[in-house]
Amino acid sequence: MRARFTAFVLLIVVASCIGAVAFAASSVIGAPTVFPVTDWAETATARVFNPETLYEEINGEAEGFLPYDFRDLTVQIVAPKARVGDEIRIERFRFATGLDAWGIFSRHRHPEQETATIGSATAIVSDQSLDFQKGTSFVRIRATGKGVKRDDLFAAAKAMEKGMPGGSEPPVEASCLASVGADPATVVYQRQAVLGIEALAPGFEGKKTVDGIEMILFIIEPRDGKGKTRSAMETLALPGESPAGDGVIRVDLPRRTGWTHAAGKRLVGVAGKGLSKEAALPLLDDLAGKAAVLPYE
Amino acid sequence: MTTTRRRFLGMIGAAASIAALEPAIRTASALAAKASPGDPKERRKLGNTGLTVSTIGIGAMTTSDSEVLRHSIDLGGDYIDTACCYMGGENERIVGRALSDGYRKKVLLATKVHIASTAKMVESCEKSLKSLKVDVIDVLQLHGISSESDVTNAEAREAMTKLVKDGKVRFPGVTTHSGQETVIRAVMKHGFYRTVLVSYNFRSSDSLTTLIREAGAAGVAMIGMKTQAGGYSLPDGSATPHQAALAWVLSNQGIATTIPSMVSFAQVDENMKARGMKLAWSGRKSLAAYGAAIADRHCAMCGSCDGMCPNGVDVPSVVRSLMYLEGYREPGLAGESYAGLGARSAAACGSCSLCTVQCRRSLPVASLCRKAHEALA
Repeated sequence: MRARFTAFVLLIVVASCIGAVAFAASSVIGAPTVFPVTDWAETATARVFNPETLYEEINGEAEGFLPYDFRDLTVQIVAPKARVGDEIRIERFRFATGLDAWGIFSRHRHPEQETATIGSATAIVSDQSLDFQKGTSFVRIRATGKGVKRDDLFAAAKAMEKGMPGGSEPPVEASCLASVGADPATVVYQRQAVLGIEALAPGFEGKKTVDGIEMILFIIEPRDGKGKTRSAMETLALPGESPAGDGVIRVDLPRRTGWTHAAGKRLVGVAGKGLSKEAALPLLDDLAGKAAVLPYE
Repeated sequence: MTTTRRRFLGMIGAAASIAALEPAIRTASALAAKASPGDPKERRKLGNTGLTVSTIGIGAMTTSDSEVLRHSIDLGGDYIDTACCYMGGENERIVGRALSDGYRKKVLLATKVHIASTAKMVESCEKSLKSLKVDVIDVLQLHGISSESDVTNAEAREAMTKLVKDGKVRFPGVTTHSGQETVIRAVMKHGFYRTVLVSYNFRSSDSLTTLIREAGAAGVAMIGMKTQAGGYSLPDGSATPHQAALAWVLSNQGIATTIPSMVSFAQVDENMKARGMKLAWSGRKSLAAYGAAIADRHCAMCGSCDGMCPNGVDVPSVVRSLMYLEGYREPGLAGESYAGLGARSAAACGSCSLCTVQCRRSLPVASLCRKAHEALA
């Protein structure tokens, strides 16, 4: 009995090691992801692209991915075994961090999209496409065969999601913006520019309309300096900044007026065209209070 | 190959530490003085469409702020380029927001459609019209084509013809990233498509330069993209030669307009100032020297050297690891990538007297591999 138990444990350990090696091999840069579902056929050789070759596959669209510490893209064409003409294209974009992957996902969203839950992930869905983020990956699934059904897209997505490490929770800053009323589908993690200003990146933006006035809520991340995380307020030179009382700083952004406040080491704000302090203050207070207690990585 | 300005800052920052690059970078940094300001209202014919266009247009693909696009339009950018696939469709909606409130009539609007069945292409265009909130697309471009057969594809032409006839599209065009010269020649030969969006910059070949000039003279509207040749910035924060690169492209009279990307108001201002700029001879020489200086580290990752080493060195992966270290300044990733090679690393290069690996771009493979091993083993 004991010998059998020991053998069983050894078998489990060995199988786990093999699985880990297999997964590691499949996740090594340059090795295609093995599509894990046995009911699918791979109808073309998987291909992998890196930052230098990404253009070859997705043309100018690559410029949108590269700033987010893009690592590689694996492209697989699969189809249900019983219907090999109903091909689906699967693109798995990998990034340096989960935040980068989520940032790319956030840039693909807008309020009028249909969404669905795939495992732990939220997916953007249409009859021909399904996109989601999990861990350091952003996955795009596209119907290329004529007979592909929505169920096929969902099945492919579920198969992918199951084998992907990491989580799909939005960053705490994104949740914070949503908690003060920004439409979650408008919250974006910006690596290159916030409110059209490069010096403010990286940061988060989200939109909220109050009494017909569109406002952009934003959170600017702390800056790193000499190994310490420095306050965004200390390190940033905001355009046209002027104190407006109670710790509020007015900024004259291009084409917008912004009202900002420190929130711990972050800088938060509300901006809009001709936005008055009176209109911005309630939101700004709420945002500053909530953002001040957010953790730092 | 193009990367973003910030990423290339990292690349060039690493590259600048190499002494051989210093003269080129110093020279490149003085380019602003070697390009004279030009006509800020410079316009050119958009091929034989009967229209004219500002020589600096707007590549909207990375722009997520509609106000940045409106700023470009206010500064005179009147050709705006997007695509149904950028940001999963969201980019067309951003452009659509920018074009509301009277801005639509100020620009020529270009978007793209992928080769598919006639019905699918018409459907894609209808979707674009809805996302952009416009009634007409000025230039609908067949996206990412690379062969003569793509140019003559009957279903694509049928779709374009129908859309033009229905008043939903004014002019059909094409975009190309590979097989560019083949595509340009095919467009010239077969007619039908009125514009070609082509990757063109100071590192492009002489044959492409000549062909663009010929195509422009023949009435094809040539539009330049990837004009920055990878994007570049200088590590010490001094003036970037983005404007010089645009001026170089526009020195080819065959180019009607360019579509540099712009994510910020500052980038808009910088790009728009390049309108009408003329590069002096010394500026051209400097730009060429700069391009040559970075060329010997610019592995295209084509993979054609894969399997060439008789000692089993995985050359593409070794060079990629070095790129992570020097280009992207990611030592952790570089180390991880190199360690993963195991027996395929460049350890064997140290004792090898004759490298038989042939690089299509004539990169010094042997020295790059040895360098990678010294830095990452």
